[in-house]
Amino acid sequence: MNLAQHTTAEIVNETYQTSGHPLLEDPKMRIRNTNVFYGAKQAIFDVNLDIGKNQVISMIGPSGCGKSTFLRCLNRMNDTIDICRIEGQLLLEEQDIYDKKIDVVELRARVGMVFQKPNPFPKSIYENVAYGARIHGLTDNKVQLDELVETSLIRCGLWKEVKDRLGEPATGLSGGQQQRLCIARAIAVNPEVILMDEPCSALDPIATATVEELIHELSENFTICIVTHSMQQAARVSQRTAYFHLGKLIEVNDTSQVFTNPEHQLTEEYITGRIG
Amino acid sequence: MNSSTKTDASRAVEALFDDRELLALKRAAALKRRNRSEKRFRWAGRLSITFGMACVLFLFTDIISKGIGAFTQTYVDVEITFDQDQLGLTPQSTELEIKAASFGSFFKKALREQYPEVTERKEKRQLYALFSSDMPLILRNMVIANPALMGTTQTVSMIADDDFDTYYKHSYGRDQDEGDQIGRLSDLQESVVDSLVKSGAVVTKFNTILFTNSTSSEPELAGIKGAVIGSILTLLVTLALSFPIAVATAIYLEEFAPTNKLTDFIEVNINNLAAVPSVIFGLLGLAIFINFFGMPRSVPLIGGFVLTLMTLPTIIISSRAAIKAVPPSIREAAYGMGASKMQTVLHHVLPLAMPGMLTGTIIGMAQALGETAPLLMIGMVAFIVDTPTGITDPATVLPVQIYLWSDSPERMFVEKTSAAIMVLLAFLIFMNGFAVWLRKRLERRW
Repeated sequence: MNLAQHTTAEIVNETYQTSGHPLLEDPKMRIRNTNVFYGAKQAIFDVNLDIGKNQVISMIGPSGCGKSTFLRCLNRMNDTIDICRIEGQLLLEEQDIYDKKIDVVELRARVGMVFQKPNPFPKSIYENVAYGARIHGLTDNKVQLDELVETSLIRCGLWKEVKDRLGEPATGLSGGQQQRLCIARAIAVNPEVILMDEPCSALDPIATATVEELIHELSENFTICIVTHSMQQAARVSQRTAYFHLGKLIEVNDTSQVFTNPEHQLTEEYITGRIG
Repeated sequence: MNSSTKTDASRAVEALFDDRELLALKRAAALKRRNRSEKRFRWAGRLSITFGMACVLFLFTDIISKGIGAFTQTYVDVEITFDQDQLGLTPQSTELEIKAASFGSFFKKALREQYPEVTERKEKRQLYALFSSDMPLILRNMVIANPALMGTTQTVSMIADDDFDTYYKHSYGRDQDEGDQIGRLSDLQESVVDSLVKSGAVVTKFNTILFTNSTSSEPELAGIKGAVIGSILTLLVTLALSFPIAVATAIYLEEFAPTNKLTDFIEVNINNLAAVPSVIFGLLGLAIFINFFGMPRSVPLIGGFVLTLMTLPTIIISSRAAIKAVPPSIREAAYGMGASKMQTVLHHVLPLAMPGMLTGTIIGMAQALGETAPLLMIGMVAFIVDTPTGITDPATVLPVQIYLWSDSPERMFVEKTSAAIMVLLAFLIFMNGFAVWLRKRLERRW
């Protein structure tokens, strides 16, 4: 840890340049000069990053580096925290998501989220998946809603396991099933982007493998941003990887390059296990 | 001096590190001390529980032993001939005619006929006094209900007067010194009772009067019906007002209010209000509702207002605790799905917090049910014989009734006081049981 702080002070100055290729052509989301403050404390420093369409981008970094905070800016989940203040430009399809004209309800329908701990609603499995469609008024009748629930569960590979007990409480499912249900709930409103905040950290290895496979499949249709503690997971599921360190975006590159040939010294230290 | 203590201390610490045997000895001593204090604590706990249980047991035995008698009432079966000539009535008489007839003197005459040996005026009075003063009225109502009774002879179950009842239930047939005797019967009355008992006319039955009559100045005719209905009406008003207001307040304070000096101030004041003596709320109700707004006194509506003020803090505090206990992950999940704040609260927070809110509400209601002081202030302490039929009828409530009866010297009122307490306790136990059941039921769903 001492080493990490020492090197940070040396290498990362107040103005810094993100290594690698943070910018893309025609991205899904564009993040420019973004700073995040909790009260007087700055959590994110001047981040510039593009998130590619139908790609999985993973965000890695040591604990407290701001990767979750950054992720939660992308669908304005930080709005619920009073002392949180966000500066800069965050664009979804060239539209500023912090614009006054944007309704946060609408935004979150377009940018869905899956959390660290599976958090199904304490309602039935069916109601969990149907909830988004209900509040956003997506279906016209019960038949359509049934169809939507079934499709979403099938896409998450959960249908076979739960089709006979849709009316049972979702909290009775196993952890892995619950997390897949949360993903099904998120994709049921067909968002454009899905944010995942360490979706596997509360799951066992087998459930993790299932969820990772699911992420891989979903990336065909959705843009996915995943925060993870596990470098192996980042390597397995993502096309691009962003490395955060103490609130700064140090390096962004293709995943294979980050793990085989990191450009920045801090990235190298992290992936070789010297900090973190 | 200082340096020598220091060296002592360092020597002692050195010894600790050198001598493992010494260490073990010290540990053993510490363990012993610890076990001893644990044991002491356990015993203190047991003792206080025993003491508490003993007090409750004593209270219950006392109330039940005093009040159990009120659940039976002494009746006397007397043959009465509805004499057409004396009453001036026929089976065809109209209700108006029956009401005009003199059942008082008819009743007295009927009694005199049963006891021809009683001739003196004073003795006659004592004879009449053995029966409830309501008997002429009851006979009249019998005839109104069925005019065909005229001219027939019926065995009428007459309500014994409270002195008769008390004497029969507690003293009759027991060897007692004069001084110990309960009741205020004269020798003549005692002999009449004796002959009645010997003839098998005296029976004790379950006391329905207690539940079908409202209060009365005659102990044997006093019941709790009016007070129970008054209590129910008052509680309904309280519930209808306090639950929505409290839940709305709790939700606003927990979910919507900005955190600033004003909300802090409100929060502190709500907590303080919970500790304000209830009589103050009564004074407030008197000043605002009755004196300022000119609303009627003694009515369940105002009682409900006052008790609402009193229970609001309790319900708000428990509702806020219930809302706080809803895991934040559920809120996040809802926000993440694009639910608005209102939807998050209505769809997810409220259903999860409901068991806690309802428990708090029922506890608040139970508190309101047992409350006397604020209701005295707004005049619900009046002697009201009529059973209230609406929230704007003058009424009294069960605890106030208990308070009023406990003031009366008659032995039978002592019994009825305890009986009313038993009914009140039964209501409270039922309400608390209902709260537990509701909680279990709502929680079991998930």
